Formats: sequence, structure tokens, C-alpha cells
Amino acid sequence: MPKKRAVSAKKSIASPPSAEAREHLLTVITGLSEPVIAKALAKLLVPQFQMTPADLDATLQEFVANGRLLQYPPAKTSGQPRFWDRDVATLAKPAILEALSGSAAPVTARELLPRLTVPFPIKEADLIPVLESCVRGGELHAIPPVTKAKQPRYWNHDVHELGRRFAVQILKTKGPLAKSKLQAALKGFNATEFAEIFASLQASRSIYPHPPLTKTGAVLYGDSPVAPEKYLAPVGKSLAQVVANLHEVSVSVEDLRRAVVQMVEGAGVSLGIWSAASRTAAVHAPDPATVDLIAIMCRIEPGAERGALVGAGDLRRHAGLPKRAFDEAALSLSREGRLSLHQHDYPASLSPDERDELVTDGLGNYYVGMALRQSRG
Amino acid sequence: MNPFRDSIVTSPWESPGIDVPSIHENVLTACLQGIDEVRSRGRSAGLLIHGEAGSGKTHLLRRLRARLASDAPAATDRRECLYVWVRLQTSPRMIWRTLRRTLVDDWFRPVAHGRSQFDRILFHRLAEIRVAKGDLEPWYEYMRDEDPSGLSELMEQIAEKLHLDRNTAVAFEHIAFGRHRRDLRAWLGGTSLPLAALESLNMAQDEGTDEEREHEARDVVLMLCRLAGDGLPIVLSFDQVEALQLVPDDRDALFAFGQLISTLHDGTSNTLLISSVQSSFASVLKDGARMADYARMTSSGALSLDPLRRGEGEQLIAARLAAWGKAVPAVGEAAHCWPLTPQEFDALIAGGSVSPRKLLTFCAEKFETRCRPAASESQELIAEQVSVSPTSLTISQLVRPPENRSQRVAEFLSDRWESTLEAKLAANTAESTEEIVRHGLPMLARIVAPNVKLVREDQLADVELIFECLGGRSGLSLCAQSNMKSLGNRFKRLKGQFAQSRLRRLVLLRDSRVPLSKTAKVARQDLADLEQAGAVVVHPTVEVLAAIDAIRSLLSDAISGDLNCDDSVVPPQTVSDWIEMHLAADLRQFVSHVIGDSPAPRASETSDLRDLELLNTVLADQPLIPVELAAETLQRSSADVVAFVQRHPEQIGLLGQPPTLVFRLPGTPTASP
Repeated sequence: MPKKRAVSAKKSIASPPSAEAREHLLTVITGLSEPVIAKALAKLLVPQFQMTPADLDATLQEFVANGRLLQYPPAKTSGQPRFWDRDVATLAKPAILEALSGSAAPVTARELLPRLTVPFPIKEADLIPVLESCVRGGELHAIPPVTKAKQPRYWNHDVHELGRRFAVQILKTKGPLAKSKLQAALKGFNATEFAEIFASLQASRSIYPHPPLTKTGAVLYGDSPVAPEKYLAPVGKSLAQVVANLHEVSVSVEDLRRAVVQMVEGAGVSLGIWSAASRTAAVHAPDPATVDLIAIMCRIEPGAERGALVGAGDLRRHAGLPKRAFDEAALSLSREGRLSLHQHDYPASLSPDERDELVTDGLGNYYVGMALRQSRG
Repeated sequence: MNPFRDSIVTSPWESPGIDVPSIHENVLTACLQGIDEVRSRGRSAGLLIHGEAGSGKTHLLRRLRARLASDAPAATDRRECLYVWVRLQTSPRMIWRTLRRTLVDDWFRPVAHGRSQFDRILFHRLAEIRVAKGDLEPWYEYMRDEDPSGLSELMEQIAEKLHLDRNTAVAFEHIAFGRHRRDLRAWLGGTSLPLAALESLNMAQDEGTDEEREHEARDVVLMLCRLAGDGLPIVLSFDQVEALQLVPDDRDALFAFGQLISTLHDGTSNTLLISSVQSSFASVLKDGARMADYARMTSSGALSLDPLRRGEGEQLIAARLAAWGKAVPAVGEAAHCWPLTPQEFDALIAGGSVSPRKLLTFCAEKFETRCRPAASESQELIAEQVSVSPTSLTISQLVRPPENRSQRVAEFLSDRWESTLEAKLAANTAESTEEIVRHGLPMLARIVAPNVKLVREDQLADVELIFECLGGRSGLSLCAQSNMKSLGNRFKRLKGQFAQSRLRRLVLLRDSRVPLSKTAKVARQDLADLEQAGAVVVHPTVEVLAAIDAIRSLLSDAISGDLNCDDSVVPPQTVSDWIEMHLAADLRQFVSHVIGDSPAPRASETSDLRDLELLNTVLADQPLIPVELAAETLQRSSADVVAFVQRHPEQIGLLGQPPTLVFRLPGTPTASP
């Protein structure tokens, strides 16, 4: 009997887990919040459904084989494989893509972990296969590590974009640099990559050429268009000194202004409506000269002679002049005191087309209409 | 005191301030010639005045009004005029009612020697037929005090000669005898009066549908113009025409204004119609109004208020400094434009001219800086540098960096809001509820619910505002009349209109200051029927009404270019954005409740306002009642009633310590018994 008992006891231990025990195992796994190793699972089984480690392993492998469970690599190098009924990749992928889309720079899997919002505690070991899968699918880019000892990084932009951003950041911090200095400052990119990055920045107008500051200097590149003030500052200083000297000997403001305008125009900067030269040119130019705005005003608005307002758009259409010529002619008549221009109070509320109808002086002032002056006050 | 600080004229009725007669003299002359033309030809005329914001439109009207004001005693041989200033902060569908009310208010306003413009009309009319010789005023006073029947006979003769209708004839006689001034003014202005007041006036009032009331207002205005007669031309000046547009491109507004001008132009023989509009609105008006209406608007011409040239600018500065009365701390060329430097003045006028308001605002800023020598030296330096180059930004932009502007505008709007709201709260009466809601609510709804459209439905004649949104149409009917007969008729008509199922929701707006009288049983039953059919009754608080009034005032000023922060206009969109950001929850909830996208207010809030109306009904009979009676009326405990009265100090009060009596505050209108 004792032997028989012993045999039967041995038999009962050796028999495969019952259907109830297998079902119980699945129920336990379904209730887990993350993948766990077999040893940990065994502790969670109720006594009547306890299994030997071998049975448990076999059952788990069987479930993995028929797709009811998924096997995950060990959390640590020396650890055991883990099991769960859910696909970490499916659950984590949207969160990964979302976290990286808002990232200004590539990150390692470890750096990414705290940024993820997933309904289970995810481990670095589970994250890396998902990231690699996204890289293979073209959804993410693997960016080589900065040093050999470091981990690979992942991003939703490629390495060229990284280079472009670094370059702009460098220019923002250091100010305009020569091309060679920018290349030296942009570490981690070989000459070919730098050439591509530089060409791409120029094409997208993300960097702007600046004139050299010295005669022998190289062209500089900055992250914003060149501001002329810095270059004109020495001229301004000299001019201020000369103007002060001329004031002392009673040169009139009007004479000074005319001379300054001529000098500036001589240097190649047209002052447009402010320029006496261009004003004269506008008056004598063949086309605008044949157009008498005042006569047209009187023709299209019978009350104009008594001071009725004529809309800028109406007059422009009847005058048939190019926009700039028309605006300059109207402004010129206003300065001469022959007509008054009526300003729009908030031109920003108008559409570009509506603004184009108005007369503008190029200084942010827009005029809706004009009236013939009844007095020359 | 800064002599440049006062740069905005808010009303032509303000006393004349510092003036430079030569500025815009041509426009004033044209106005005076227009009056002469009306007088000599016996035909009405229209004059349109354009000007950019701050060009002096209202200033010019003030100058005209002062010029026309008679400073001598009543006489018949002087060429006198009557003046009316209409600020069109109203709904286009109430334009005649607004004109009627404003005209009556202006004509009751004392203008010289305690006499009103109505008195002037009376004297002119009496002088035409009087038999006695000598001074008119002593004779009139003698007739009124010693021979009232003789004066009555004369009044009858006038009425017969002018073909006045009965109501106008009676009203004119009341004016002659100085009777019932308050109620008379209300009747003439179109305010709904209780039956008792109408009986004592011996006048009728039949308030029909919205359209009928508008027609009635038109007839009264035309009749009053006829009463003045050809010997007394009337200047009707219309300001803030832009504010009529409840939404941008509101064609109804331009149409209504055009029709008003045409009717007055052709239906009277003694009016000069002056319309002043912003230059930027000129083409909108010309393109939007009917051609025939525009022709009448400009039958006597169109003129523009030009911005100031250099010489005029210097004159304006000199006039302000002369009023200041102190020596100018500058010599030579610099003295002509101090507190500006010649360079600053050059830069300001670089385009050839500058608006008076801009010049004064800039001078005011510089005056303060330069009268405090230690102040902002660095800013001064910036201004000096900038003024050398005319191609630079304007000086004001540099002295006050543009990036700070939004903050300054926000502070300005906040201050302006506080002061406007306070004024509107103090001035709020039940009579103004309709105009406030009809003009202000669409503006507010556009801010709170931009997707909701204001539509018209001719079949719903008693539903003044109809809002259309995805969920359907929600209509608002203003049911705040004091005249119970009119109100009852309105409820009856509304029952029929609501039954047509053209509205998803009908909101009846009541004013708790105008309760339903005890005897208005039929009206009460009709109101109950409407509620039974699904209509919702709302009682906006005085605070909500005042806030809507303040909003429409701010927005109208902005639309008309009359809202200035520093040297530039605050655009309407900026005001809308500011209001949207700072709008109180109760106001937002009120709008949502009216347009039907929020649940009704809490029962406790509604019942409080209903109880207020109920208590007002009792107080209309007995202005002073024991707390116990109030408790019985409201079916509350006495302690509750005391707390309730304390919650509504604007309408009711308590007497005694501890309180034993409840009383109605003076000024709260009453319903007819």
C-alpha cells in the first residue's frame, strides 16, 4: 500500500496540468499589468492549480506556440523570459510616436521611457524592439550615438534635420559665422553631410548671408536677415558729427535734409516718396504726367470742388496709373497742400486686396480717400 | 493742468471750449449757408460731412450748435434755429423711435434763460397770431397766469392753422401751460405710459406691433417738425452713423438710414439734415445706400473735414497755450510748436497734414514730459534722434514702444469699461431696456456665439430679435411695456405667432421694474398660456442691462473711430476681443439662455426676479407697506423678505430698526392700476 500510494502520488505529480489549471493560468496572466517570468507566475497560482516548473514552462510555451500568449525577452541580461497576453508593441507604439513627435532632439530608449504615457509599466528591454520595428517601418529614424559608449538614439526626423537644427542653434547663440567656422562648430558630421546640410539651409532660407565685417573677411552666415544698422553705425556717427557742425553755422534743416537725401540716393538707396529726385521724376515721367488727378476728381465727383471726399479706389481706377505712381502722385499733391488725404484708422482690419486700393506712404499709413483743399492753411 | 489733454468732444451740447475759428471754417460756413437755403427756399436739404477719426466732427457740430444758440430773450424777429443731435447708437429697426426720443429730449433741454427749444417754438407760434404789442415773454406770462382761457383759444387757433393732430395739439397746449412736463416728455418721446398717466394727460397711446410703433414715431417726428414751422429751421445732425451696423456689411442699417433721410428730406420743409461719418465709412455709405437716398443726403453738398496743415496746427497749439496762460519755455522757431520741438513737429506733419486729435494727443504727452525736466531723458533722446529722419517710424511709435501698446490698450479699455459701466448703471431705467437689448444684444451675441446669425422674419412682427443657430431659431420679444393694454395685446399677438412653429424657442423679456398690474388679468392669463406653450420668461437684472448698454456704447464708439488710446484709434475687433476675454459669467449665461444653448437659470434666481415683479405690483398701489404684508404677498417669512429687499436696493428699501416697512424707490416706474 505504501508503495502503491507512493506510485499513485508520483503519478499524480507527473500528470499534465488539468484543463482547469491551464485556464486558471491564463486568467492570472490576463489580470497582470505587465509581462512576468514563470517563477513569479507560479506564485500567483492558487494551491489546487499549482504546477511544477517544468509543467508551467511547457504550458506557457504551448500557449506561446498557439498564439494565446506572447513571450518577451528577459528584463535583465541574466534574467528569465517573460510572458503576457498583450502585445507591448501595439500598445506602446502610438505613445512612442507621439512622444517623439514633440521632441526637439533624438533620445535614447532610456530617455524616452519617462516621456511615455502607456497603461502599463514598460521596461527598456521591451521598448528597444518596438523602436527598432518603427525604424524598419520607416516611422522613426535611428540616429547614431554621439560616442561609441553611448546608446543609439531615435527621432522622427533624420540626421540631416538634426544637423540643420544644430547649425541654426549655433548661429543663434554665436551670431553670424563664416562657413568654415560653422562646420567646425557642428560636430559629428563629416564633410559630405555638412555640405548637404548647408545647401539645404540655404535653399530653405533658414540661414542668410551677411557681408564681411572687414575688407579681407569671408562672407558670414546668420540665422536672420542682415540688419543694416550695425554696418551703417560708423556712417551714422560721422554724419551726426557733420550735421552738428553744419547746424552751428546755421545751415537750414531743409537744406540738410535735401543734401542727405541726395547723398543717400547717390549711394544707391532710393528713398521713394521722400526723395525730391524721385518726386521730380514722378512728375516728369511721361505716363503719370499726362494724368491730372485733380481734374479726374472733379470729373467723377461733382461735389469735389466744394470739398467732397473721393474714394482712393475710385480715383485709382479712373486714373489708370500703376499703384506706386498713383500713390506717389496723391502724396505729392497732399504735401503741396492741394488735396487732403484721409487716413484709415485701423488698416489691419482690411484684406490685402482692400489695402491695395488705398494710398500708402510705405510707413504704415493708409489713406481711404482725398478731398480738394478749400484753404491752404 | 495740461492744456492739451482735453482732445475729445463727446457731445455738441457740451459748453464751447477752446476753439480756432479759422479751422474748418469753410465747413461751418457751408452748414450756415445750408440753413439759409432751407429758410429761403422753404425746402429741406442734406449735407454730408466726412472726416477721419479725430478730425473734429463732433467739435464742428458743437461749434454749430453754439453758433445757433440764441442768447437773447424770446423774440420773433430774430432768425433762430432749432438743433437736434442724434447719436445713432441704436438698432436700424428703431431708428425713428431713437430720433423721436432724442428730438424730444433735446427740445425739452433748457438752452437759454431756462427756456427750452419747445418754448422757442411756442413763442414763435404765439407771436404769429398774438394781438398785443410789446415784449413777448411778459405778455405770455400774463396770458398764462391771468387769461388762461385766452391762451387756450390761441393754442386752438395754432393747432387749426397747422393741421395738428389731436395728440400734438393737446401736447402743445400742455407745453404752453407748463403742465405734466415729465409725463408729456415721456409721451412725446414714445415711452410706454400707464393708463392713469395717459388719462391725466388726456392723450391716447396705442402701441401696436414693432413696425406700427416705428411708423408712429415717424409720424410724430414729422408732426413736430411741422409744429416748428418754416420760420424756425431745424438742424438735425446725425452722428455715429457707422454704429447702426450691427454686423459688418449690414445693408439693413444703411437702407434704414437712407430711408430716414429721404423721408425727412421730402416730408418736411424746414430741416437741414447733417450726416457726419468717418472717411473710411464714406464709400460704404455711398455704395450701400440707395442712390436716391444718397442724393438726398448730399442735396446741399458733401464736405470733408481736412486734417490740419502746418499753419493750422500751430494755431491750434497757440490757442491751447493761450488758455493755459503761462509763458512758453521756448523762444524763436521752437516757440511756435512748443511743447513739440520743430523736428518733432516736422515729423508729425511730414505727410502734409495731421488730424487735430493726433496733434493734441502728442502735444499732451510732450507737455507732461517737458514740464517735468527730470523725466525720461532717455526717451527724449530717442525722439530727438528719430526726428532727424523723416523716413523713420512716427515719433509716437518710438517714444512709446509698440510692443507695450497692447498692454496699454488693455489698461485703457479696463478703465473705460469701469467708468462706462458705472455711468450706465446710474442711468439705467426701464424705458431704456428695449433700445439697450435690441442694439446691444446682437453685438454681444456676435462676441459670445459668433456662429449665431441675426435674422428677420416678417411673420413674427412682435419678436424683435431672432437668432439662428444649428439648433434652430430662437426669438426674443420685449415685453416690458408699462401700458397694460398694449402689453396684453402684445401677448395675444404673440400667442398666434408662436403657434406658427416658426421658432424653436420664444423668450419673453420682462423688466421686474415694470410689473404686471393686479387688474391686468387677461394679460396675466395670456402670459401663462404662452409659458404653457413653451415660451420662456427672462428678467435680466439691472446689472446685466447696464453691462449690455456699456458694451454697445464701447463698441459703437470704436466702430465710429471715437475710442482713442494714446494717439490712435482702438479698432472694434480689439474691443470685441477684450470683452470676450473679460465677459462676466452671468452675462455670458444670459446670452446663452436667450439664444437657447444653455440651460435656464437656476430656479432660485428666476423666482427672486419674479417675486420682485410681484412685490412691485403691490408697491405700485401702495408705495409703503408693512413687512408682514410683503411676506404674505411673497409667501415668505418676514426674515426672508428683509433679506430679499436687501438684495434689491436699486428698486426697494426698508424702513425702521428692526425693519417694519418696505418701500418703493422713487424713479421705479409703475404699471397702470
